[in-house]
Amino acid sequence: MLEVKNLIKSFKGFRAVDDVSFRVEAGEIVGLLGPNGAGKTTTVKCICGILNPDSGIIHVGGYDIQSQDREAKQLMAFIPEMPNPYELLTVREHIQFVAMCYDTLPVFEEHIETLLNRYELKSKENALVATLSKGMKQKLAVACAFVHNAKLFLCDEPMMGIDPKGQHELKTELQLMRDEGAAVLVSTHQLDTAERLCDRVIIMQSGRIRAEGTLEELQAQSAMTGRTLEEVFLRMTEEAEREAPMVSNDSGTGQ
Amino acid sequence: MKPLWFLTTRVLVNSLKRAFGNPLRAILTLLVLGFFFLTFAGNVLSMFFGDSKPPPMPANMMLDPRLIVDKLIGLMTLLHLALVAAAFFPSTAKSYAGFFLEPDVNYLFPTPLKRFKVFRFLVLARGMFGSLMLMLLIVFYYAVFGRRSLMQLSALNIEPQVGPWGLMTYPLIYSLMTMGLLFVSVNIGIRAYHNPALWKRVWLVLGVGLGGVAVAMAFFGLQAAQKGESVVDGLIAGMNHPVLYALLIPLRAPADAAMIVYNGWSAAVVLGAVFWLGVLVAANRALKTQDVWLYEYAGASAQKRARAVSAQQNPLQAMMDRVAEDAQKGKIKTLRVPFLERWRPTGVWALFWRDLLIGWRLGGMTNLIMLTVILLLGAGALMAVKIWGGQKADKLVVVVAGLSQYIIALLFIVGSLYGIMDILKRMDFQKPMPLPASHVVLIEVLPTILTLALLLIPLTLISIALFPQNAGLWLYLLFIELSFMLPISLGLLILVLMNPDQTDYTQRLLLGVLMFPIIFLCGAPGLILLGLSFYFKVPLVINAILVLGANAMATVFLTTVAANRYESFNPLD
Repeated sequence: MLEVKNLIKSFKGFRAVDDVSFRVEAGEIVGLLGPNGAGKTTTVKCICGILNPDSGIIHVGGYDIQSQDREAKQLMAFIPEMPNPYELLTVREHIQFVAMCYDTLPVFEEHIETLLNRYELKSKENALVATLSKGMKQKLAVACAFVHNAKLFLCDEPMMGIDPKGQHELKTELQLMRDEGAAVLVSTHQLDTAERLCDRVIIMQSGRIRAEGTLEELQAQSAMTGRTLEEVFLRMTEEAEREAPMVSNDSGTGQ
Repeated sequence: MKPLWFLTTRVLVNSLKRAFGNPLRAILTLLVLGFFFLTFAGNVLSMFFGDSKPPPMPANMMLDPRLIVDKLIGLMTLLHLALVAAAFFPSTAKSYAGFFLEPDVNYLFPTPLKRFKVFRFLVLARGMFGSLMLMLLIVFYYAVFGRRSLMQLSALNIEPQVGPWGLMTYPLIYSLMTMGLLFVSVNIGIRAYHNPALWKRVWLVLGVGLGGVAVAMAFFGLQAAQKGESVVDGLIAGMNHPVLYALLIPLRAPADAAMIVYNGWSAAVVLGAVFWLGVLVAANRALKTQDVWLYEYAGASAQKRARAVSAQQNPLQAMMDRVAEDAQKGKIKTLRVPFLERWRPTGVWALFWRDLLIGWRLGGMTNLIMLTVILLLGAGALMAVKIWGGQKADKLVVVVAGLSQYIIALLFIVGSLYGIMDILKRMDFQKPMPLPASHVVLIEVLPTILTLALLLIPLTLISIALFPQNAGLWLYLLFIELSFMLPISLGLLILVLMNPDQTDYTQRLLLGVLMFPIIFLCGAPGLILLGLSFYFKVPLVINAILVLGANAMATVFLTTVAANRYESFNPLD
């Protein structure tokens, strides 16, 4: 469903993503892990078509994100790291607006009540987004990702700020989508979530892919059989830092 | 483009609805909108439906209508020249990037809508709002600077040269011009995203162009002066010189269009309209060639805007972050005030101590620099009056001192708005404290007044040293000025508490538009007594007592109102 090949993206001479290649197949959830400034968000935004890569190929469902962006985007749904919704729309209008962008108003009409109830937004449907708490805004961002029949879900820290019930709902929803044949790429810092949710993980560091595989494969690679993903992750990233100390970009490009 | 229209209209409607959800804000919004509608729309409508006969010209008035029209065209050309220059000025050009918001990046850019159409729509829709504001500004300056000529013109019995629909020419050309400028500026912005040096080249070209026009016009003005003719006539002759006329066609077009009722159709109107249409089409095409970069540029701009808005909403926090960062790097030293640090106040004075301590640590160096500059400038001006003022020195010095103190106070009041806005972020922290709201609001404005006093007292002492015979007057000015600061600062605080959300169009408009009327209103009781006291030549001491009393009463009243607003404050309202 998603193919990223030799992706390179630089900002003012700083290479945020350096020759990254990976695939996410239909029916799997892949975790994109890495410390701050690893290039996760930049990679996700290149896939979304928000950033223009320096070079490399990104195919979504066989469509090239550069030359066939509309077809590729029709298959995608994006959950941003910081929700930042339109503050002066009501909750209902916000979801409706996103549905209009995907030209899926009938789907919206059919599913709006389910979405509002699932993410506990029903009581706030006519309230301005500006009046929502941060957690509720994140729930709204999640709800907006389900207004069309996406085949690829790109989630940048989707659990950030959501209460446990909301997190559970989202995880269940993503797993359901996976079971229905969608591909899911989750960029996250929450290693325990990644361990439970993802079928496979990709560990990025300093713009490059450090390791890729299932938890068992990563355990084997780092000779840490039976250890948690957190322990494996920390070992791998620390080793990489020792081997090749690179210029860190703690603030992240955030682009 | 249906979703984009939906977004734009809903945001506007919800902003207005929100404004009308709060009774006080609703009244203010109605007043502001009513003012604009009655002033501008009323004028336009009267051209269509009003009495078409102009008022009769007084018999003793001998005026050349051509000269008056030319003067007004000159003024409008100048105003539009400023608009074009401003479009490429660093600050304005960068603010063009502010058309894009973080929600656009998160919810609009990942959707399958056509990239170019989305980008163009956002630039046009949001740019239009800004350009309408600029048009109001131009009309305002036109009315202010051209008032005399306009009155003379209305007194002349001139038949309109075009029908009422001709009035649409100016808005049309103005729109073409501003949209053209907008697209050119965005084009440059996108190219400068990869090559920041590009802006410098643009400013160089613009500087040379503006300089050339200024030199040519100065030449005509000087030539007229040498011949003993009016400089204004010389400038008008320059403006109508074939070469300058041709060069200035893009600016003459809106200027001539604004005067089309008296001037009729001119070559500049037609050629200028074609020119700006051409610019718009060319810039649109050039933008299309940058298609793949549009979202990335918009995303970077949205990030910049978010940072700028955050700094604007919370300038003290932004300044604090910057100072902290600079101090960490060892670039600056924060000012330590030992006696302040040792002071251990309690109750509401603890808030005062905190504000003072933070204020002086952050802005202490700036305050010291300001103090030095003000002292040097003030003392310099007073010395100049003393040395060269001759027999009029005593009267002149009062004007100089009064004027300089007025300017300092005005700058301070406007600047203090940012400090006052900072109260919003402290709300959650200090509202649960067991402190009376009336004391808190008063304490919130005190540090600003104290800082102003620290700047004015040395200036007053210098004035007393140089002109001891006016000592009473200097002290009078000092106390009077400081007494006005209290009600005015409280008025601004009330305005901020009523319009706390600066991301909301309506609230931002209300804060900007109502700032000066509020300053005037809150100072009105004192001002009225001040005027009356001078009119009736009341002795200075009684005059001071009356004004201080009026300001004290206004302060008590405004403290009650501000405390009430503070207690019932709801940021989500």
